[in-house]
Amino acid sequence: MKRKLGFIIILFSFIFLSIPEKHIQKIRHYGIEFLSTPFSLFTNLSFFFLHHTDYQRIIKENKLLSEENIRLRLENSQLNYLREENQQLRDLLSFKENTPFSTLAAEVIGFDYSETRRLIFLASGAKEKMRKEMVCLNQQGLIGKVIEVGEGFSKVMCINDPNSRVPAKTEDTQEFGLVYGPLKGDYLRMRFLPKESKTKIGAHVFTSGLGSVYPKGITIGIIAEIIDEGFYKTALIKPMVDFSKLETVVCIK
Amino acid sequence: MKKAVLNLLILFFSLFCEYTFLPLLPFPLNQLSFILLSFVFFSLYETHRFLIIAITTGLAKDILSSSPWGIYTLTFFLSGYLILKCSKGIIKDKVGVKLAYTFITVILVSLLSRGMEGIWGGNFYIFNLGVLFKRGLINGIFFPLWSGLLSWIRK
Repeated sequence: MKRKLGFIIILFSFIFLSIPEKHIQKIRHYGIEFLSTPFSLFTNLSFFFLHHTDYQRIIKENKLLSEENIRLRLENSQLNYLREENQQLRDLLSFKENTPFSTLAAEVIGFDYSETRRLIFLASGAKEKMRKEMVCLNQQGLIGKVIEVGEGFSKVMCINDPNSRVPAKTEDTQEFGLVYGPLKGDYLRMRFLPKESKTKIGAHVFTSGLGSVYPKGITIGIIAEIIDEGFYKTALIKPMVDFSKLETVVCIK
Repeated sequence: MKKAVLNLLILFFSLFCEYTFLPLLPFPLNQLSFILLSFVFFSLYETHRFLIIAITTGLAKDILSSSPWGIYTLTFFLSGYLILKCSKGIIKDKVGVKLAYTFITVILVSLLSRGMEGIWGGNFYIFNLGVLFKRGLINGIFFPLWSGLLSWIRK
């Protein structure tokens, strides 16, 4: 009897594995919606024990402040960018205008951190107007992008997920590269920097705005090491965000 | 019936811990996987309920992970089956045996799930055996404590 059951499980697992993801997504969404309330409870409790005493007040205050802070930082980094551009392309700037970001604060309710995954679960979903490919950040810098949206939750792929790719630019030499999530270690890898790159350790790395997902000027991290790979250089980047202390994030559209 | 509900509660508790505060703790605590530890415990001491436990654990992980659906159900079933077959005639209460079982299960589950994810999901990752070894060892060392706690709860 047990052998038959085992055979059935293996058979069903193989059938499940061959079903396309879009058909299975609804089951996953119902499951996560069902689990999101206890998740939220557990996360709040753990934050309470790990970090704070006057929890509720700080959370509310933090939510408002981080939203405001991020908006200001974004504006600031954009202004910095514009100043640099202004020096280089004075005549072009006269007709270029940037649209302001609208922000949406969301509470972190869970983490899926393993060797191959770096995802976080947010308590906001389609009901709160969350959309796929929205960019998430906090006062420290870039966190990642929304990859899945349910009715009352969403999943964010962090920039340190091995599948993450972020087009980036160095602060000091204005060189472009692609920031990869690490397969091992905590440092991100900025690949495809020119072989003759003169960027230095300690320089900031920002999003470049290429690829239309991540708006330009969001801080990613600081260069910690530069490796010569032969045809190009790779910079190891220490992320600005502390991924073990994420409580609230702000998503921009 | 009472024990089955308690087992289920333990599994859910482990799941919530793993997806909420465990990743926030400092090293080596953030390497712990309560769901795997509970699974090894049930596979060793609740052999007659192993099937339902493997399915529940696998389904829960399948719902929460972004891997192709069914990977964890299959992985937990296969690992549980192997534990069941290998643990016959072995004194399970020895600390060394507990450590070895947990160590092997952590490595087996990681390798199986990542191998299958490569085949079905197209995501091939380089196996970082050093990290895997460390993770297995940390969980193995912690397992006697966890199994003691679970045995005490279920008394």
